[in-house]
Amino acid sequence: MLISRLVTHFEEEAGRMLAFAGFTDVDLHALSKSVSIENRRISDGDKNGDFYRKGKVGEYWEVVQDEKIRRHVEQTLQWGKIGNPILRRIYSSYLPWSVQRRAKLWS
Amino acid sequence: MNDSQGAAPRSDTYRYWFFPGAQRVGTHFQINTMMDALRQKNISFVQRPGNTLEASDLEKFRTNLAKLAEGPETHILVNFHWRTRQERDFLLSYPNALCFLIWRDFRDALVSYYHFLIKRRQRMFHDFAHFYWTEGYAFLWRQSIHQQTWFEIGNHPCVFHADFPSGNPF
Repeated sequence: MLISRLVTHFEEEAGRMLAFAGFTDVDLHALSKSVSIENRRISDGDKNGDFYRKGKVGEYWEVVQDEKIRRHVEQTLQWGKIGNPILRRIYSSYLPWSVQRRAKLWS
Repeated sequence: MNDSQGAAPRSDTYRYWFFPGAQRVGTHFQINTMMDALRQKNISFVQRPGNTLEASDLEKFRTNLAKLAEGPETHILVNFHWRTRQERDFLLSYPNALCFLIWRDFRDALVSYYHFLIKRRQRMFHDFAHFYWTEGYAFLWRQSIHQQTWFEIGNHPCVFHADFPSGNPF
């Protein structure tokens, strides 16, 4: 399951990210508190959690029970890995043109 | 995680911090982390969502970013869902820029997008299937292309990927 370590191992991963940016002496514990979802909801006035919604790993498998959708999702994820834009265009030919433009499949 | 990410650049030489993450993967969480760190260090910065700088039109974006750079802030943070090769290469053409990406399972991002449209965009769907066959499948394409665009350059000294516990994506 791919989920960012910035969520699961905040202090370690934030430390690496900040070190990458050239900062090594940041109070990571204080930082973890300030960016917590509860704190953000208060500071940004999002008391219902409309924006800062607490999702969870594997939520998809609970929400999506439809086998047809699951098969289509897996197929789409496989096709999306194709680097060649011409092949991408062929595999995505079932998509409406407006969707293809929004996805910028040709770029 | 790619080893080249251990080579920390000097923060004062990298003025532009771009956050070109995909939709619903935690980009706001990532940018909030960096902003709070800058606040903690009392470093001046300005943050703008890309759409306020017309980030989908690269020439306009270049102009707007240059105007923003005339300000006194030492760091400029911009988030936008840049997903094409052209956009990626444009961002990396800045000699004093860093890009920060974060990744999440696209299936969970899909569910997040479903809730986002309902709660934040006031969209109405009969059920998840209705959402998927009208919006969701295109969202997945965009996510996949986003990932492909940023992964195909492999280890880049100016690109940070929030780590994967399940293995090195490169």
